[in-house]
Amino acid sequence: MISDFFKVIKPGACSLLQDEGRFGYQHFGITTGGAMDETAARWANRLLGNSSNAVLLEITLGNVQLEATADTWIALTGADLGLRINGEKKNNWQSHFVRQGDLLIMGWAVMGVSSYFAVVGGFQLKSDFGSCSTVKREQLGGLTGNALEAGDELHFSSVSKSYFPCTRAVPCRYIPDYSEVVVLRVIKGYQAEQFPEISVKTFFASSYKVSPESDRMGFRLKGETIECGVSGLLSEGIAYGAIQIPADGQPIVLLKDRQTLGGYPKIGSVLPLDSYKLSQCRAGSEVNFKEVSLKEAQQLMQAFQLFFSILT
Amino acid sequence: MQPKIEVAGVNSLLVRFSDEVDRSLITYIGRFCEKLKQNFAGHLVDLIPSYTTVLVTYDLLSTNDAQVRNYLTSLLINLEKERKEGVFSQVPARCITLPVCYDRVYAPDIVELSKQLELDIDEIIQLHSAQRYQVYAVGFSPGFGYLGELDARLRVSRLATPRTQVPAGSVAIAELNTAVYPQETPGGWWLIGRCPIPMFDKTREQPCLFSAGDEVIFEPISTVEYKRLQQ
Repeated sequence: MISDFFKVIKPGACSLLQDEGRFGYQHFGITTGGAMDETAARWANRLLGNSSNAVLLEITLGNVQLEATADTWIALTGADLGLRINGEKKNNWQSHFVRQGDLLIMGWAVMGVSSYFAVVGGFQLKSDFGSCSTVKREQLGGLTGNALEAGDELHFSSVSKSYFPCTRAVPCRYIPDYSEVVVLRVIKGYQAEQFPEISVKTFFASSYKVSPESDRMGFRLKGETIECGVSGLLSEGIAYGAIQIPADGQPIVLLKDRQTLGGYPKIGSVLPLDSYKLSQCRAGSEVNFKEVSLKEAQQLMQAFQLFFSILT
Repeated sequence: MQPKIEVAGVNSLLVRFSDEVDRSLITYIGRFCEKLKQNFAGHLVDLIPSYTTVLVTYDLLSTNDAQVRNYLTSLLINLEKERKEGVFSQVPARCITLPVCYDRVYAPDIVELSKQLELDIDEIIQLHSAQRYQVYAVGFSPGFGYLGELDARLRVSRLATPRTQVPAGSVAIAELNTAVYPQETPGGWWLIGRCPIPMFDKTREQPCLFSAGDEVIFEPISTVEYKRLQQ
C-alpha cells in the first residue's frame, strides 16, 4: 500500500491538494479553502466513482509531470493541459488507466486556469480540521500546508484495469468553453440597500475585466467605479462569492481562500455556480453581472448538488 | 434595536443584532451561537460571530431560506425572553493572561508612537497593560482576535503604509483595538511588543487561545523572560 503513489517530477506553478473544503472552523478565523472550480473538480471525482469530497490535485496553469509507482485509474478535467501518458496524447474530461512506471506529462493550459487530477479513491493524506484542502496562508492541509514540490509523493490505493470496464468521459454538453464571456448571477444582499440606486444600476449595466491581481482569496475586477456611500463598517462574516466594494469602487469577488471577516461594504454574493466559472477566467477576461432571485439561486444550487450526489 | 435577518449569499444569512459596538452584545451573540449549534446542528455548515453580527451558513440539501428564517426568528424571541429574565449575566467569561515583551527590539513602532501620542514609552506600556480587554471577534486569519477597547489616550489610526510582513506574535494597536498577530502576515497596525505564546497551534486541543466573549490581560515581561517562554 505504502508504495502506491505518484512521484512528483515537475510540480507546476501552484498545484494544491484539495477536497470540498474545511467547514465548521470559520469562528477560529480558519477559511474554507476547497477546489476553486467545483464543477470541474466534481466531474473528475465522478468519472472515477469517487465521493465529491475525495482529495484531488488542483493544478494552476499546468506544467506538471508525475510518475506512477502502481496501477490505477485517473481522471483529468478543467483547463486542457494536453495530457500525455508515455508520450501518447490523452483526452481531457475523461478517465484513463495508468500503469506502474507510466510518465504523465501535463503541459501549459491555453484557456482556463485550473485543472483537476483525480485518482480512484482520492489521494490519501492526513487532514487538518477535517479537511485536506491546502491553504498556504494558513499552512493547513496538503502534504505540508504548501503547494506541491518536486519529489513529493501523492499516495493512493492501487486498483487494477478491470476496476472499470472502459474509460469514461464527460458528455460533450457538459464540457464548458472557457473562452466565453461569463455572466455572474448576483443574489443581492448585505449592504445592497444602502448603495445609491445609480450605483446598483451601473454595477449591473457595466462590463468588468478580471485583474491580474486575482488569486484564491478573491478575484479583483476592473471597470466602472461603484460609489457606495457606506464606510467604516464593523467587520462581519464573509460568505463565499461575496462582492466587496472597497474605497476605490472596484469590485472584488471573494472566493475559496477568503478571509473570514471583513469590513468593506458588500452589494451581494455571486451564485456559486458562476463563482466556479469566474475562477477559470484569465486576467483581462470580460465578465458581467446579472441579478438572480434567492429562490431561483437556491433551486439551481440544490439541483447541482443533487446531480453530483448520484454516483454512477 | 430589533435584530435583523439579512441575505448574505445563496445559503447564508447574516443576523444583525445592532449597528453599534456594545460590550454586552458579545455575551448575547455567544449565547445565540451556542443555542444554534445545540438545536440546529444538522443543518449548519458554519457560524461566524463578529462584533454585531453572526453569519449563518446552512446546508441547502437539508433546509432552505424560509425554514432557517423561521428557526432564527423563534430563537431570537426566546433569547430576548432570557435576556429580560437576566439569565445571561451569570455566564462568566474566561480571562487569559498573555505575556508581552515591550522591548524596542520587538516594538518597532513604539518610539514613533510615543512622539505621535505625546506619551512616554513607559506610559504607553502602562496604559496598554493596565486594562482588561474583551475579545470582540476572532477572524481575518486563524486565531486573530479583535480586542477592545483601547484606552482613549492610545487611539491612533492605522499606519499610512501597511507592512508587507508582520512577525508572528507581534502585539499591535490601531483605532479602538489591540491584537496579537498569530501568523506572519501583512498588517497595518502599530507594533508595540511581542507575545511568546503562539496564538494559534493546530496541534493543541484548543487551537485558539481565546474565543469571542473571553477577556484578555497583557502582562509586561523582560527580554530574558520572553526568550525563556519562547522555548
